[in-house]
Amino acid sequence: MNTFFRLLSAGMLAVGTVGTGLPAVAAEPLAQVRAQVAQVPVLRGEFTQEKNVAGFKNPLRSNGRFLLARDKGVVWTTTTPFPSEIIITQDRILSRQRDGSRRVEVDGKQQPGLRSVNAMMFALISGDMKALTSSFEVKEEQAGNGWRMTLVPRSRQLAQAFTSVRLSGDRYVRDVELREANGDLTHLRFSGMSETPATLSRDEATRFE
Amino acid sequence: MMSRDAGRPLRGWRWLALAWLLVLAAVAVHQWTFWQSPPIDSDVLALLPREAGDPTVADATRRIAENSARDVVVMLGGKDAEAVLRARQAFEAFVQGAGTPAGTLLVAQRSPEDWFAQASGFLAPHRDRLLTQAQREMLAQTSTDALAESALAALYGPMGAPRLTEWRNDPLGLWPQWWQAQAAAAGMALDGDGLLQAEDRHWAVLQFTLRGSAFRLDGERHLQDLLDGASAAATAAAPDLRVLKAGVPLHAESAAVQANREVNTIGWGSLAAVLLLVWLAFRSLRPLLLVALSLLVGCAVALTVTVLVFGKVHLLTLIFGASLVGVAEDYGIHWFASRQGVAGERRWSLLRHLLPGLWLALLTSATAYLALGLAPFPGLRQMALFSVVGLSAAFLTVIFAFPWLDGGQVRTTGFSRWLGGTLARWPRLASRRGFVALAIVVTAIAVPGLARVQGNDDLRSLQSSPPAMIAQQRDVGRLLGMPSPAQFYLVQGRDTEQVLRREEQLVARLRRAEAQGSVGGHRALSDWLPSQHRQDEDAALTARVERDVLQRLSAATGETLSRGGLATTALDLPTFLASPAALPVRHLWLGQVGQGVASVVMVNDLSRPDALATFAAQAAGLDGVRWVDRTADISRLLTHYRRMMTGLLLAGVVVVFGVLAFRYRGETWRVITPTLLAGVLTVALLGWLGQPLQLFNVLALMLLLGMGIDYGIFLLEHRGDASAWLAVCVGAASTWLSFGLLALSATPALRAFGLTLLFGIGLVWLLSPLFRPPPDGSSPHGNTAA
Repeated sequence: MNTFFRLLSAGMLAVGTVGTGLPAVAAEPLAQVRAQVAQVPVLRGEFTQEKNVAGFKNPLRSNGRFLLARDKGVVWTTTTPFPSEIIITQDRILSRQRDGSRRVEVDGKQQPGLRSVNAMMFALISGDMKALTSSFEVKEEQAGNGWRMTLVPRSRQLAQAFTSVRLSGDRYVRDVELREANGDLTHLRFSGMSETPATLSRDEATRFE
Repeated sequence: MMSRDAGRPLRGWRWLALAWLLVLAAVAVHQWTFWQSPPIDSDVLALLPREAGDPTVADATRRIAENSARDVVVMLGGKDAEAVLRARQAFEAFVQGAGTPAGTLLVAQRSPEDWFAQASGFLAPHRDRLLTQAQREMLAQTSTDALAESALAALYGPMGAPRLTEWRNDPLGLWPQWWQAQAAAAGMALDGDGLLQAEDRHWAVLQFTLRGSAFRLDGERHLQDLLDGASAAATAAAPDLRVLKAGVPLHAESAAVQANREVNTIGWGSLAAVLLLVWLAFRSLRPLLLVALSLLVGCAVALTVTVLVFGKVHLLTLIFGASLVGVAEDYGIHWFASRQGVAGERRWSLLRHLLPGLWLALLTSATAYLALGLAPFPGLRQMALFSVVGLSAAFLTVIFAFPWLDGGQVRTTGFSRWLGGTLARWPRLASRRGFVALAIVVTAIAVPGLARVQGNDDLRSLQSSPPAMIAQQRDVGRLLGMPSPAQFYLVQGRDTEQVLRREEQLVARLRRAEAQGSVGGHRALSDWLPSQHRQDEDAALTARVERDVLQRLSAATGETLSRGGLATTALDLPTFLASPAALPVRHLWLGQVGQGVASVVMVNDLSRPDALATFAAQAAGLDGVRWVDRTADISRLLTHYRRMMTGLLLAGVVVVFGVLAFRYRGETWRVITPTLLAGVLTVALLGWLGQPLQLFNVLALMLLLGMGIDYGIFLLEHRGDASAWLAVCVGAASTWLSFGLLALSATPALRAFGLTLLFGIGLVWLLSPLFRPPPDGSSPHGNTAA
């Protein structure tokens, strides 16, 4: 009987991983790549995103800034076309509304699976590939000065959520392409990365609270 | 006259003996087939009464029990997730590798890998009708603008808001949230490796189903050995591993293994003791073999009849039945004790002489055992039937077979002369001083002892599983949030719709209590299949909100967005039950019950303080909703029958006194006082030992009354007769030993039984001679005055 619930929550988790895994990729990816990719406590940068969603004639384009703090989480700030902010921490996922109020999207207490999603995310940041390789088949290749790799989900549950993740970059992850099982395609480009200052400003730190 | 008949069998005896032989042949055939695959029952619930007058509760309980009867759950817990994964692999490999060509004992239970896809695919067209309470409130209260804004944020955000369908089929992302709520309600939160994180450990949860054809409850540790081996392999792969095992089959096998051991200890132990006593008393092989034969026949016939009447035999019956050896030997011993010094040709007249006494002895013992069956506990009735049939069969064997088979001399041995002679040296209460001394001793023991006696009617007295196994079962239940099989809500109504609506009312209350943290979770059919009424309401709500949201999003993005296709009618019960989505809750639907239909709502985590009271309170005032607590019901029943049986016991004493007074008049007190004193002292001793007084102690006291009186009767009937004392001693010693061995049982109920009779029989044996009448000088044996 409970097998079914195991499957169910694993399936849910897989769906959740699609989203939360993304910003993490912006840090360090694979073992071979490790030497190349910056291992930093704080990373700031800009992104542009293009989503192809079934039911929409045109791609959905957006851009904004991101802030990644190794021991805190990620702040994802969309500036156009609609300002919004999502904060991913160890315990929960928050969204900041236009009026400044914050809403808990996912609470780690209610969905302990989130903790392992974050564990995976931080494993990625710290270059611990064990967790990643247990869930994904990883193919990597050298590409000019940088690197390129493809992650394919190992488990059927993960595969039910998406088909593949492609990453490429050099010292930083520059490009991410995510193909969901339902056909949706998300393309992210990162630019303007900066490692300094290596500590969070007071304003930045309060966003995680 | 006498001398002419003495050498001849009784009239018709030949035919009766032949008939008995035929019966035994039939029993032998039955025994042979029985042991090919013994239908042995180890389920504690099988011993308990069916809910009197309420078949619904009984039916619900049975279905819940059947649902998990073959499941075995193993949890491997460690600090390091990697190590736990290694351990899981090692465990599974061991179980797989241990299989014989015929197949493995345990089949790893994996839901079809694509269950989730199947279930969500089936329910998806109805997803607008499936809302959680929180979603319902959110949709009703939040402004369309706010909803549109967060939908837009999700659409453009990086979160790729978890989605199970195309975006336009669920623009607000309600559907994945609903599934998330179902998973959370099950108390299961697993990480990507399928590990559960709880209590500072990572746990691998392995589920197995027992393959019935490969499993036999034959008293061997098949399952335990397999799991122990697999646990060892897992621990080798990951030291510091915590292994938890749970499941009905484990308890069943443990009970069978234990029963096997106890049946052997009690059965063979009693048999050895009886045969040793017979050998000491008669020093010849024939009595030994014949007494053994009567016991074997007794047990075999008892087993056959029990199986024929009840369909199967319960383990506790077998254990209890093994103690019968120490009681059923009486008839054989009686025969040989009386045969001592009687010529072989006179044995038929001896039988004529013994028959009335033997009949009476059988009748009193059988009556005492039958009294066990007065309480409506199937287990006790089985034991009563087993005992009465066993005694009768041993008795019939003695009267039909012994005279034919025992034609030779039976010697009088030194041991039997010595034992018979001890009676004369036994102190006898003749003076006032003696009575006063005894009264003081008895009072000194009884009063403080009785003051300590406490009643206890806990159902667990029937449970024999080792504490470690029960603790593991509890841990697994807590970690996995498994619902209790003995406490649940029964929801009844005239049709499906009414039942589901009543469930919804109950579930709303449960949610409030859960939110306050006063109770654990629940499982209800209506969480998966809401009432038609609610489905229609929710469909209308989502249709209105989603249309408005899509309109705003269309405006914001410059697209023309329309809502995806959804089912136009509500999901009904038959369709739902036939679908794969019903897997987790199918067993909660009871279907037709009496005039209407019924379902069950299960709850978990009863360990919290006042959880039972809180659950019970939730049902108050809800029509058709009833809180069922089988454990409490049965404890109440045990209390009721303990009181009733105590009353019957006291009434029995009065009746027995009355009957005895007819025959013994002024001497009646000599017969009954030893048994009464023994009974009182036994209860006092139990109090001294801190043993609670249960129904089973009271039932044992009933047996004590039935058997103990016999000793008094013998000593009064055969004043100073050494051979009567010999029979009493040998009989009492073997009975005493049998119940003494029963007192070693790991099942609390049987232990209570054994302990009570161990004390009781011992005390009657010691006390009876004190109250014997003065020997009248006319005793034919003349060895009374020493």
